Amino acid sequence: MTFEMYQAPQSTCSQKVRITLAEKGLPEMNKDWIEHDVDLGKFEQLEPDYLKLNPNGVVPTFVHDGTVLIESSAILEYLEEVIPEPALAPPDPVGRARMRAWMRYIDEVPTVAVRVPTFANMLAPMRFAKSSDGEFAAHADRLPLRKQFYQRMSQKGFGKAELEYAEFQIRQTCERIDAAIREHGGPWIMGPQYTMVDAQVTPLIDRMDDLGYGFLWEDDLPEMTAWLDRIRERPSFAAAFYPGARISERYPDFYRTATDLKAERGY
Amino acid sequence: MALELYHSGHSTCSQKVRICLVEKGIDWVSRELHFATGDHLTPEYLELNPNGVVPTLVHDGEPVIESSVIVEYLDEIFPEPPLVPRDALGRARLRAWMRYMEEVPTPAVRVPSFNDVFRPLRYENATDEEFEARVEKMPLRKAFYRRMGRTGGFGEAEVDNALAQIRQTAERIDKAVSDTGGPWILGAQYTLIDVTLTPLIQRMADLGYARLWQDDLLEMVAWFDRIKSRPSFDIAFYPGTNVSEKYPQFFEKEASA
Repeated sequence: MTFEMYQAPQSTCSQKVRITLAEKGLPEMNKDWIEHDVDLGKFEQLEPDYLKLNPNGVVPTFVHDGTVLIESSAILEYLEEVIPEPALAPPDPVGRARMRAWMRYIDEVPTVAVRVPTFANMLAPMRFAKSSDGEFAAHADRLPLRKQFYQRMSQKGFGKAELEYAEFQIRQTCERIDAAIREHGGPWIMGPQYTMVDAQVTPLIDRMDDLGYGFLWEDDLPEMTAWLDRIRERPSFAAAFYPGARISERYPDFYRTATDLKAERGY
Repeated sequence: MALELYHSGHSTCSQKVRICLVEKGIDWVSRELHFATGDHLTPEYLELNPNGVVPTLVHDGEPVIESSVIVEYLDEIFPEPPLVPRDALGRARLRAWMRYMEEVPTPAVRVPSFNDVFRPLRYENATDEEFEARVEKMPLRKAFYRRMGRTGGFGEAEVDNALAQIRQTAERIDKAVSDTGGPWILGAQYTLIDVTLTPLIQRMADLGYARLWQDDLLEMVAWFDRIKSRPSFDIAFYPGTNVSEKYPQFFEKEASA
């Protein structure tokens, strides 16, 4: 079996597939699976050849023995089917439905929310500060998905209301993780079994932490904080977050902490 | 084995599950919720569904939430007739389509639905305080309501974008039916992606947006005709479940304007 992945080190959706590969016994990039680096800074994900593989123009794209698979959450479910051990899904239909409901929540709420400070605090000033309105609009127009995200953002990034709402959504996610661990006794979100939900949400929380938003959970959500500590002790974490995989490491010249930015802009 | 569905007649996500139940030939008990009275935001309902949205399936006392998850659950516990492909690759393609359906047309359909009907119906005559109090109670989608506003509705850019997303969805259906040879989106087998896209396309048609596909996407038009001739369609869309039937006043107004 040959596994290849078109991906970017700092992409959270690529990270969740890397974590899952490592959990399934395929931790090592370019040994257990082959990397095709997609440079998001050069917008390689929007080139015609890449769009033939992935018409949505996003990473990752997974290739198993020549067959192309897209959508990171669907890739996780696929890996579970072709590499059943160790199991990352509950054995019963009700358990799987609960896991999938969590996965839908993560896709709809924190996945979308994390993009807001990521773009506002780093990517928008880095990529678009010098763009004209016309250049920016032309870029947004190239995106098969998420044009509207760019239109709401503008070159300068998001404003106060959008950033505060994103913080609210991440806080809600953390509260739900904290409550789930208290309710099921942990140590993982669904209880004793580490599942795809833990793998899926890890890069989102790590990104928020990397951007300096750990204050959203670390003072008063001890179960959530302890869960994140346990997550980081798993070998899959180090495998997926290899040096240079965090956005702060990838773009150190543009890195600003949330605290610094709040002092400067007031939110 | 008792199956109860907390749902609403005209909710597209409820319609997705009703079509699936009918395709599976399963009997179920209806628990209908009314958004106007806030039935979906009561503490009792939030206990079943912490997201405060419909539908929720309760199977022998166990709540199952999220319409895409419910239909996949129904396929696992009632395998016949199968509505997912038999092989892992086919299932991955189905799930990638379902993610697209959730990310693109599902939110896009809300924009004209609220602009044309639900905002004027529910909020035009509310006070700003009542509107904000309702939004504050919603576990998800507060930002959607705040962008819409109580009185303004979504602006031109957001409406144009939503219509472009529906057009893109219709183009992808057209291409898929053409590439796979049809008659369904994944080919010979009718699957959960046909089930879940149906209410979104039907809503757009009901709101008067069939022009987005009917002139030039002939495979998509033929697909939708086939969908409507399946017995599940009329059963899931029982009388009063199209917004034009439920709230005709908004449609008469549009016609005379």
